[in-house]
Parts: sequence; structure tokens; C-alpha cells
Amino acid sequence: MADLGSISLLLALALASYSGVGSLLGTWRRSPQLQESALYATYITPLVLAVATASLVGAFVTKDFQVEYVFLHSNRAMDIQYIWVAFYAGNEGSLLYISFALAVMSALAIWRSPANVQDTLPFTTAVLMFVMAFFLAVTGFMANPFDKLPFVPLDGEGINPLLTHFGMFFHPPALMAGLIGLTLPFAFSMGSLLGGKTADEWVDAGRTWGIISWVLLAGGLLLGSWWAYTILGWGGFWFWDPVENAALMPWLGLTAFIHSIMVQKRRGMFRMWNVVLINAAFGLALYGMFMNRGGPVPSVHSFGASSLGWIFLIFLAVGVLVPLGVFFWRYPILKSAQNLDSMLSREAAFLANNLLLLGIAFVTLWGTVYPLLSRLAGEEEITIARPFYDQVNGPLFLGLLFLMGVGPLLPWRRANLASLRRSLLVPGAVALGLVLLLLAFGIRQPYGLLGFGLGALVATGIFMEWGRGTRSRHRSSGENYLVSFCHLIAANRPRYGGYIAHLAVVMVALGVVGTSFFNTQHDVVLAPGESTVVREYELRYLGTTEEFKGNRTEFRSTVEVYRDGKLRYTLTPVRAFYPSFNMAATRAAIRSTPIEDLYVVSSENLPDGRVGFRILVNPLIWWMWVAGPVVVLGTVVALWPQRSRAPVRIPARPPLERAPAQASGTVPA
Amino acid sequence: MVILAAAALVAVCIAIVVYPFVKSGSRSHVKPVNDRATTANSEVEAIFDAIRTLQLEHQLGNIVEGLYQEQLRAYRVKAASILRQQSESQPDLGAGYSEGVTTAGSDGARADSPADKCTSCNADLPNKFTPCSHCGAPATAPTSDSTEGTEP
Repeated sequence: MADLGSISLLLALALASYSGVGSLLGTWRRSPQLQESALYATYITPLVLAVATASLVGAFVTKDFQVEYVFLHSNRAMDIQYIWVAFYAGNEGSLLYISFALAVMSALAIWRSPANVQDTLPFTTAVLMFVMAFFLAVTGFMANPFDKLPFVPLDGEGINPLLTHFGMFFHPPALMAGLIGLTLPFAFSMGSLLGGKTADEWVDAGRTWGIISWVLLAGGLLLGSWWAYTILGWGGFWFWDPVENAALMPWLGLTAFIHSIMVQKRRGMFRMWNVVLINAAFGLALYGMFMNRGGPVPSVHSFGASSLGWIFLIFLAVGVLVPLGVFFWRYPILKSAQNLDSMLSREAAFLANNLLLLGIAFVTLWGTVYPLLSRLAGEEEITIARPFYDQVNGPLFLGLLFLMGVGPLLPWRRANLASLRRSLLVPGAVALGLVLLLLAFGIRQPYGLLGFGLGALVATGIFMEWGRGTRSRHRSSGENYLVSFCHLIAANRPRYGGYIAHLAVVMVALGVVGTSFFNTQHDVVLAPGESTVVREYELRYLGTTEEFKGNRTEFRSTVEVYRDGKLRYTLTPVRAFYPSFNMAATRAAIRSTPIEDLYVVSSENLPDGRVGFRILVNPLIWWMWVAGPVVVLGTVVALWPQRSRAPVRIPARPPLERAPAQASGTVPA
Repeated sequence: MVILAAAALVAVCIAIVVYPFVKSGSRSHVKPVNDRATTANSEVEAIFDAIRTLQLEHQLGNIVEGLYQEQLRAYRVKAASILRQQSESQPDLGAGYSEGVTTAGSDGARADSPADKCTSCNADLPNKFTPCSHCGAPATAPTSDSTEGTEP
């Protein structure tokens, strides 16, 4: 099985290399056979990698511990469902997964590429295949998941306990697919530049795959935050960890890109901006992979110390310098078709959006690399902690929230100040009213008030537009309101899908503001029978049971929760110790409602029977997790194909002939 | 068994990759450059998408009447210019079209009356489905389409 996997890996590498070289040579030599052959190689690469993937999964299922990767990441006691997680738990398996994901997405993208990018598709294919060849070469020669041990162990070491969590089924695959998926819009952009195209043919394909990568990254980041919240036991969800930042930065660049590309699509503007943005996002994704695998900075997320750092650093350098060179080479032909008509326009809002997002990405990058730079300078390593990011990025995120509220109300080209004031009147009044209400309730935190107010501004603006559009359609078509609303969204999918995604961002903002500024944390040591009070909750610790479960010892503590003197529910935080890993893992007990979470985690079991608890009340964090499915829904709506509305019909005969009444064919796009 | 499976896999891959060289009449990977008509169609479609979005913005109250009319006029003139260039580059079509831009679902029925007029500038039109080549006003379309746009 492992041998078949190894051979498949090398075969995939050969196919990817052939496809990349063949695409370029076939175009240069004008050889349709070579071009078609290269195309077929692109299409069968994912099938060959599927064989490699199945071989590794098969090795896990059959518990073939002679395969070193299987030995390091599983054991006989591991539940079968964790084979999926074990597959990408280590460097080698995750590299295979990344290669497979890229192969599948590349084949799909090339197969479904629009007609107007066919001229430059060979260059796009070459970029995709060369990136894939890199990952396959590293996997095949430096981090092969099919390497064998010289003996056959009786049992494996087991999977990292931190990975045995529901979130781990989705968080790493989504994040890795999102990071590598960035290669697709990057490849379409590079293909267009290399092919010497000056217009905007690549915009549709770039936008589609940019949004797909964006939602995968967004989902991966949210799931990772949820995992950290429930399993790491500190009660938070984002630590500004270097590897967390390394995934956030390309997402920020992609967010700017998928907005800015709309300006190029509509008005032929921001051509240079979009090339720079996608190049920056791709470079940051490579940087993220370097951080995760090179191990220059320790992190709970990284794959630990690795010898792959230098190769990823070289690839990062190539991935940044070559696109930069191509950009400067094609710079003269990247002039925008039109200029900015007014600073009070949707285009200007998108420009401000680009600047804010890049600003946040730069601040995050600076905070992430500064410890490395201080170490390289021979000085004592200086770490950048959370307060730096909160203080600098916080106001920038609030600025983004403001733009989310105002931007959609601005028309293209030029807005009138009076109409903008009129459009902002109700959302502004609702925002102000909410702030005054919160002040009346004694809430004084300025950033918190600003965050809630801006969230109300955005949400009200969106709902108002939905209401006006529905009412207008109801009046003109006579449909009932529900049908009008559905048809309104169906007829404007990119627009309203974007609004649904904006609502998801407001929900995330709600959770972040609520938890960051209004949470309560209480650390206490309790003996059985003792109680403690946190806000309106009284928590009574009853006792702890100890249970041995194969590969771990579990300590289950029982805590009763009272409110207004009445028993409401019982929580059971769990702390498990894994002797083979010499580590403890926690499972917080969380009572979650849309208003707040009551979060209880046991931190320490003392010899005298007392237990250390961390108790938190986290307001509004529930909205963060619910935002995940909402952002996916918005993306699906935005990407759902919309039928062509205005096919141009070129008549089959000269117009002076009276042709009989029959439908003539449409000109294919 | 593994060696057989691997050999079969390699053989299949080689066969697929080599196939275009041995079969006759391979199609080119690179399709012909879009002809001018297709490019013009795409440009016109983009302009009418922009007009629909403009109409939606106007109905939602995000743009005042004066600016709306100004931008609408500019889009229509641009569309008319592209259509005029297209008809000039294809002289076999004659002075106009018997059918032009229309919404999906319309059939190719000939014009009800040879004396159709543009609703915007009153110029003569070959039929009611053709956009006006003088001012660029779009073809007659159902009013329900006016709430449709394509992008935020």
C-alpha cells in the first residue's frame, strides 16, 4: 500500500511538471497536440493523487505501523473517525493533502475556465502546475508520508490529544485548502500578465476563485477560534499567535482583493491594485506555510521543529520576487481604463477599504516578524503581545466596520451628499439610539459603544435596502412580499450574497466586542461542597471522578449552577492526562446562549481533593460561531451562477429580408 | 500486487498523455481569439448590467435623479457607439439589425410595426427590440427587470 502511495506521488510530480512545461512549450511551438496532452496531464493529476491519498488512509485503516507516519500519528486505541484527522496531523500528510487539494481545484478551474481566458490559460496552467510540482517535490523527496521504519512496531504513538476535537475535522482542511486555493486567482492574474493581456478577461475567474479561497480561509479561521475556545482552556479564542496571524494576513489581502476586483469588473479601474493585492495575498500565504513548517517561531499551531524551513523560505522568495518582476515588466500596460470621478463614490470606498485592510495586514506582519528580527539582530528576543495588536488593529477594524455601513449606500462614479445623508439618516439614528440606550444602562467603554453602534449602522443599512428593494419589486410585479424578497436576492446574487456575508461580519464583530470589553473572569480553588459567585451565577462544586480510558485518565468535575437561588443546570468540565504524550488536555463545560456563555474549565486537580477552576462569562460570543454558516450561505448566494440576461442575437440573414418568425441563435460568448 | 497496480496506473497515465499525439485532428488548447462581435457583445452586456445596477440604485434612493439621468445617458451613448462600430465592422448586416439586444426568453418574432420609435429620442428603429443607435436607449424590456442588477 505504502509503495503504491510513493509511486503515485512521484507519478503526480512527473505529470504536474510535464503539464507545466508542456503548456508553455505547446503555446510557443503552436502545437495543439502538446497543448492537449498537457491539459490531460492536468486532469489526471488529481486522480493519481487520489490513489496516493487512499494509500495513506489505507495504511491507517490497516494499522500498518511500519509506515513511520502512521506510527507517529495513530495507535491501536485510536477511534476510526480520527483517521481523517491523523491524515493531515503531521507535516508529511498535510503536504499531501495540500497537493491533492490544489490538484483538484486546478483541474476544476481549468476545466470551467471562461472562454475569454483561453488565450492565457497555458500560462495560468503553467503557474498552477509549477506550484504543485514544488509541493509534490517537497513531499516526495523531503517529507514523504510513505517512508518506512526498518522494523514493524507493535503499536503507534497515537494522535495528539489536542486534535481529537470535532473542530479538527474541518479547521485544518479548510485553512490549508484556503491558503493553497489562493494560488488560483494568483495564477489567473499571472497568466493574464504573462500573456500580455491588458484588459480584464481574468477578472471573473479571479473573482470566483478568490471568493472560494476567501470563504475557506474564513471558515478555517472561525473553526480554529472555536477549537481554541473549547479545548485550550484559557477562555479566549484568538491569541495573535504567529501562526494564527500567518493565516489572518492572506485572508485580509484576499478580502481587499475580492472587493477591489469588482471595481475592475465594473469600471476597468484598480488594475494595478488588484495585481498587487493578489500577489501580496499569495506571498503572505507562502509566508504562512513557512511559519507553520519552518518552525522559526514556536506555536501551538505549528508542526514543530522541521528541516523544511529553508526550502519554504526559498519558495517564498521566488513567490514574491518573480511576480514582482512580472508586475514591473507589464507595468506600462496596466493603466486603468478610467479615473476616479469623485472621492464620494463606491470606488473611493473600495480604495479606502484596500488601504485599511492592507494597514491591518501590515501591522499584523510587523508584530509577527519583529521577534524574529530582534533575534536575528543578536539582541534579546522581544515578543509582541496581544495589547499591541488590540490597540493598533482595533481602531482599524472599527474603520472597516464604518466603511461596511457607508460603502454599499454609495453609488458608482459619484454620489450626492444630500442623498447620502438621506440614506444614512435611519441607520445613523438607530446606531445613535443604541449607543444612548447602552449609556443609560451604565455601559461606558468607548470602543465597546463604538463597536455596537457601528454594527447597528451596518445591519440597519442592509435591512433597509432589503426592505426598499422588496417593496419596489412588490409594487411593480404584484408578488407577495416573501416572493418579492426571494426574487430580489435571486436577481442580484453577487450584491445580496455580499450583504449576507457583511451581516456575518457584524455578528463576528458583536462577539468580539462583547467578549473583549464586557467579559468577566474568575479563578478560584474549590473543595467539594464549596461555592463561588460570578456575576448573577452561583457555582457549587460537588466533586471529581477519575476514570481510566485506554490511552488517558479523565478527571470529570461536577459543578451545579444556581441563579436566583434555583438550580438551573449542571456543568461537567473534563481534564484528561495522556501519559504517552505527557500532557493534559481540557474540555471546557460551556453553557451557551445568544446573550452570553458561562464557561467553566478545571485547571488543576490538587492532592487534597480541591480543584482549580477558571470561570468566565463571555457576552455575545455565541454570535461569532453562528456567523460561520451565515458567511458560507452568503458566499454560496454570491457565487451562484446568474443566467445571462442580454444575449446579443446576430441575425442569420441580412435585415432587409423578411425572415419568418423563428428564434435565431445567440452568439456564444 | 502493488507492483501490478502501480504499473497499471503508470501505463494508463502514459496512454492518456500520449493519446493526443496518436489520434488525428487534435483540437487546439488555445481557442481562437474572440472575434470582434463576441468582444462587442461582452462590452454591451457589461454596459447593460451597469444600467440595471444604476436603475436599482436609483429605485433604492441611493442616487439622485439628476446624477441618475446623467450616468444613464452616458451608458446609453457608450452602448450606441459600440453597436455602431459593430454594424460598421460587419457591413453585410446592412444599416441596422432585424434583432438586437433583448432579454433572455424573447423569441425572434419580427417587428410588429416597421415604424417603431425610440422612447428616449424618438428616432426610428427597425423594431422595438433593437437598442437605439442614436442615443443608446436599451431595448424595450419588462419593468420587473428594472430591479435587477449584478453586483453590489
